[in-house]
Amino acid sequence: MGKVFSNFVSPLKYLFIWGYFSLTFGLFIWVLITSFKSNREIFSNPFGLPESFNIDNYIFALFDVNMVMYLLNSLIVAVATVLLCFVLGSTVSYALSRFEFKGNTFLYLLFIIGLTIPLQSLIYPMFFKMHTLGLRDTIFGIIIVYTALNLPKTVFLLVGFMKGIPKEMEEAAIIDGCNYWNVFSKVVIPMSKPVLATVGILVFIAAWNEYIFATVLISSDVTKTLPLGLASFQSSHLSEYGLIAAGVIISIIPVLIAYILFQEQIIKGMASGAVKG
Amino acid sequence: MKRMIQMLSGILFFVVLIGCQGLNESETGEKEGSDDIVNLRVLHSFTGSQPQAPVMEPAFEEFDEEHGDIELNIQTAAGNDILEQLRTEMAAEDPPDVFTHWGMRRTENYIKNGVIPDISDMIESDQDLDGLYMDGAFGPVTYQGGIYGLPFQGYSYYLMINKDLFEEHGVDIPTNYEELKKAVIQFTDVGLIPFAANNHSARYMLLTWFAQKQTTEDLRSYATAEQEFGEDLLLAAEKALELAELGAFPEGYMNLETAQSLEIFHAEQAPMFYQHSWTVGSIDEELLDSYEIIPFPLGDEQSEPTVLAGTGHFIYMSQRAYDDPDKREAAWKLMKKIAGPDVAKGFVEDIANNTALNVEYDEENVNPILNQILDDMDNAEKLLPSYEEELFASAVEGEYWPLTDALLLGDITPQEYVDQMNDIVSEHPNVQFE
Amino acid sequence: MVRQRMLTLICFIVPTLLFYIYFFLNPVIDTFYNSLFDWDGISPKVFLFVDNYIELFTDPIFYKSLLNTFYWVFLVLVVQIPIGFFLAYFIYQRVKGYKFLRTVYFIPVITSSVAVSLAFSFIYEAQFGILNSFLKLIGLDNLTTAWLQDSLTAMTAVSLPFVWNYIGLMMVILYSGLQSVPNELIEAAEMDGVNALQKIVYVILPSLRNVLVICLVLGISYAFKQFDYVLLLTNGGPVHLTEVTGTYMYKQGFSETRYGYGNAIAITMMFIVIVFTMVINRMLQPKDI
Repeated sequence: MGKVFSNFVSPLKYLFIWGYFSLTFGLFIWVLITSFKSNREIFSNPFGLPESFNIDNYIFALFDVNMVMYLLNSLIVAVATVLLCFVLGSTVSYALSRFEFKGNTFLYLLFIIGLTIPLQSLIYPMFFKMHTLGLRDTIFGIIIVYTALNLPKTVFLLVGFMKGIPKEMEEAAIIDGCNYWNVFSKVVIPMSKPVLATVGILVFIAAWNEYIFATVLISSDVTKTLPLGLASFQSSHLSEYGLIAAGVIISIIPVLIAYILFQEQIIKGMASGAVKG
Repeated sequence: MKRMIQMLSGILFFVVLIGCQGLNESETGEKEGSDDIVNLRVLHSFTGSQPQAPVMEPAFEEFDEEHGDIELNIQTAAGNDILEQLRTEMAAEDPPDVFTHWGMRRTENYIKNGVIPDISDMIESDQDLDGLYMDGAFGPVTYQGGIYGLPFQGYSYYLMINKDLFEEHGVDIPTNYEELKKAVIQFTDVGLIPFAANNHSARYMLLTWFAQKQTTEDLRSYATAEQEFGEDLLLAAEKALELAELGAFPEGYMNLETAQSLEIFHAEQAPMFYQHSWTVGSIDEELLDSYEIIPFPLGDEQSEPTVLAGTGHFIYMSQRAYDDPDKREAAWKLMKKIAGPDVAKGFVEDIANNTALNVEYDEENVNPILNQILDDMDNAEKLLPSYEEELFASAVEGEYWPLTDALLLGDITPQEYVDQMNDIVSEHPNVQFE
Repeated sequence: MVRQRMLTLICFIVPTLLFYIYFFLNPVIDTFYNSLFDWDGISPKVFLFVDNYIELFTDPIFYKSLLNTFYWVFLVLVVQIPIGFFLAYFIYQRVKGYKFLRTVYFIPVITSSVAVSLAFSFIYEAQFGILNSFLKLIGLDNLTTAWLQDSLTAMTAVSLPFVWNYIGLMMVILYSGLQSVPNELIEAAEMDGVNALQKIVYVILPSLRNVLVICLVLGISYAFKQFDYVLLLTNGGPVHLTEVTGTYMYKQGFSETRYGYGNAIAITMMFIVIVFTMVINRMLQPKDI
């Protein structure tokens, strides 16, 4: 009985996994092919290959529209957000996880409550706050905002992990004459590397892809991040479909390369981060 | 590990430094301004594939070069993106010094709140401007006795057809609504989309049929809620709805951007195109021989040949720039440049756009489509302003677009449309003439 | 030592705490405070007290957007998580090429919502979009439609990029959950001769309970906050057909310049998500932890 059922299930199973695969993969390929076509080819033959692999669209998107600058901005924003989250998150998490003091739980909850808030609902006050501080439309301002938004997640993950580090290690270090700072930097941080990797990946992807806050906070071209740059690229070239497709491909490639290089860690990181978050 | 932390904090420091540098630049920039160089922050929407970009962008750059004592810091937000961009900057009390925008329909709130200054004195006392602008060009920026911007772009709605497709399928060129309906049916039968339209085109058609029976005074009295919409609007709404139901518009036209709808026309999938004249500059020049401008079909016997035309785009300065004498002078120079004869000539000759100015230009250099449009305007019995460009109060715009969409989608009947239009207009009457 | 401990604590906690209070908690409170005012960003603020909320609770468009958002939650439940689960389960069974498949399945997760939305706008394009072209190719011309405008399909069409974007994430979470299911449990079940379906229903799913809760909470919070797709694909149109709470909030503030009202929507959203999260945690109280 079991065998019969399995025999029946097996083809379905392969249909499902390869079907879903071809949908996902096919979409990317189709956008890629479209990016080489002229509008006339796109309209007359949506599926066909382009007459020639014309890379004009790519050259235009890369050099005339500053896609490179958007890429760099996004890179700076994402890396700096990760680092700030590390610095701010790891210190407070160390204190919250390794010390017992009055208000510890309260503080922890204060951070955790941030996890349940749909972050996009904070756009208005963030906008006016950044404006008052003179940080609207600056790279620095957007880093601050992204850090604030990612802090609850960071603290939650780090506290959870640090609580699991055996106390003995720390005590041994203190007996050896280390102060708390040394314990933190020489014992706790090195031991937390796996969770730091997770946090880093989660925060990086979040900051790299964020769009809503960017639309509100950024207005000048030189500070645009990649998602925003791509969106405004689209609205200034609405009807040049091939060009937009090229922009999409350009925006995907850097993350795709990074992803392929680090996929093991990324997948593990996302999983453990999400499982704990 | 320590080294790693040091390195990380080093990078962090560096990044913070970059961020702060961005800040410092703008601060020091302002400081320099107080010495002898005036800094103007400019926001405009003519960038990327916008047809006006080839004239507008060089004009700003040229101005920057011509004036050693003025430095322009130019920001762009393409097409309609400028709406939100300007709103955001206004809300942040950080308006650009000079910006391009539509007329009162989108600046009313700024005018009411005193963030755009009345520049009528400046206009009057400046002899350079005498007789420069067409009659009525200031209409959309005249608000309760004040004038708030300089016009640089005109508009007219035009109907363009692809002659080859009409000939190929043996369809007669329509002159009235009944003939148009027949043509629409003939084209849908052969698998063509009659109109390369989006929801804007459909709305323009509705407005045109309505206006064919009105005078400027009539149009005003409706917009100010002195008179209620009635039979005329109902008939126009019925026609637009009927066309939508006949399949005259492309699938998904509600989500099409105007530039995208033009691509359907270029792809020869549609024989007709009814649009705002800013699109003329985007028309594919290779196919010009097949294209022709025809008068918009008359609604019925009482209708008169009408073209909806006027001025649509203006350049403004902000109250903040106005308050600073140096900036005011610099901003005024820039505004005069953009709303001046050189740009106007460029608009007509280079990018085939209507202008708001009386300028001389060489007809030889003008795009044949624009020439035909200008002829069509000359031949029309009346030129009337379009409601949505000029006459509706700002608050009406936001509600009347989705309401017309609802009509076209069949969510509401033409009668409900008329009633709700009356509600909207009586709630937000046009008060610019008070 | 005690003094040093105090000092350390202060040094470790205070900077982050101040940062967090100033840049995160303060905005949350600001949102609430501003929701009590009528403000267009330019004119002076007018105190309304709860009038914004009263208007909100009688605003049919808000209810429509809420309904649409719940539809997203529904899709998370019946499409996103199940597909994610089956992909994870088959990969867990080490089907041929599972590593490669896992890599490809996950690509959407790292792709930005803007790129995904633009790609989907090409799919739905009525004239040359892949969907209509494909239907025409296989002779189903009468099924072609304007996917983002048709009242039957628009809401689903606009949700698909969101659903698709996060299937990979659900898969990875469930996959890591599957790896912690004790092998003995599965072996024991196989010894008892259960079939594939029974195995999933009676053995696998119960042991994934905690992970499923996580997927659920995550899916719901994403459904409320990821409205970029709608903003980019339809902007909530035509005529609010595809409006979700997020786009409605965004547009009320930044297009209609009704900041107070926008903030009231934001607070209501926060409230709904928090209640949802609590209810799910209650109902599916994780066992054995």
